[in-house]
Amino acid sequence: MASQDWFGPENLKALVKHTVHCSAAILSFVWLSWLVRWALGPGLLSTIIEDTEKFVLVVVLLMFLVHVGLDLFRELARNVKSGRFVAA
Amino acid sequence: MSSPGDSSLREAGKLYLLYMVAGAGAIPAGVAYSLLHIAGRERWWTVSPILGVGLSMAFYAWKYCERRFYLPRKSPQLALSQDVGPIAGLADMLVAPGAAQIPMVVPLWSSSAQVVNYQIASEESILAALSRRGKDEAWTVSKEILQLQYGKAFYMERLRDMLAGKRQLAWTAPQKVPITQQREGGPPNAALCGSTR
Repeated sequence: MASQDWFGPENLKALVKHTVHCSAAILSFVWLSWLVRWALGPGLLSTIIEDTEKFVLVVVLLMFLVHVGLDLFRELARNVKSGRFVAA
Repeated sequence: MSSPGDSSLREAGKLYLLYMVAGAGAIPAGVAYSLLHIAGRERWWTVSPILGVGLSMAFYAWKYCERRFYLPRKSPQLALSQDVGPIAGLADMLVAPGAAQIPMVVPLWSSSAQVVNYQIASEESILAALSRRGKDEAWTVSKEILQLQYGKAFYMERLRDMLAGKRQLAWTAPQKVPITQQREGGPPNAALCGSTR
């Protein structure tokens, strides 16, 4: 197994893709949560929304880890099976 | 026609939407967590099940949307083939010498002529089945086929008359013997067709 099997161009591309889109989704959630809290003003509902936002961000991060891991392992298995980087 | 740039943008949008959907799926569990937090009951044994529920909801939301985004959509066709529904196990019964076979696929928006042809073919297949097997078995098959097609009592009556030999199909030659008595010799009109040739 060559090092490119782990960190080949396809793996890096998948990693970058997931990172960009997960960051965009997190920023969207943060912005939406801020917008709703700003509209509601301070109070119990704002506290609930703030805590919900934290929880959702944790879940999205975990989803990111799971899907990046799955994509990387899928690509790794494909590289090893095809023997693309054995000669490298 | 879309360019490769458009396609990559669409793919990027899909992945972003998948993350958004996963986050939205976890919102109910997030609300439950926040209520726990406000009530001051935030312990590891209360938070971890909620986290598990939130994760599984996010996962299923992701899977559902992934299937919707990436799997090709089926064309709107009504499949009426020999391997569908009650016809599936009865294909061997419907294969009789000289009998018209059920068409493989009838499009949903087919013309009325095609629908009539399908009806004729089905009824001829029923007659063929009658000639090969016993009355009871053929009756069950015919009923299932007609129910599948029409679901109307009118056709049940019509079939009952056909079985009793009271009714004759317009597109077949007249029969001397009632259908229920024709146990041998292929389709009901085989002898007649043989004599006319």
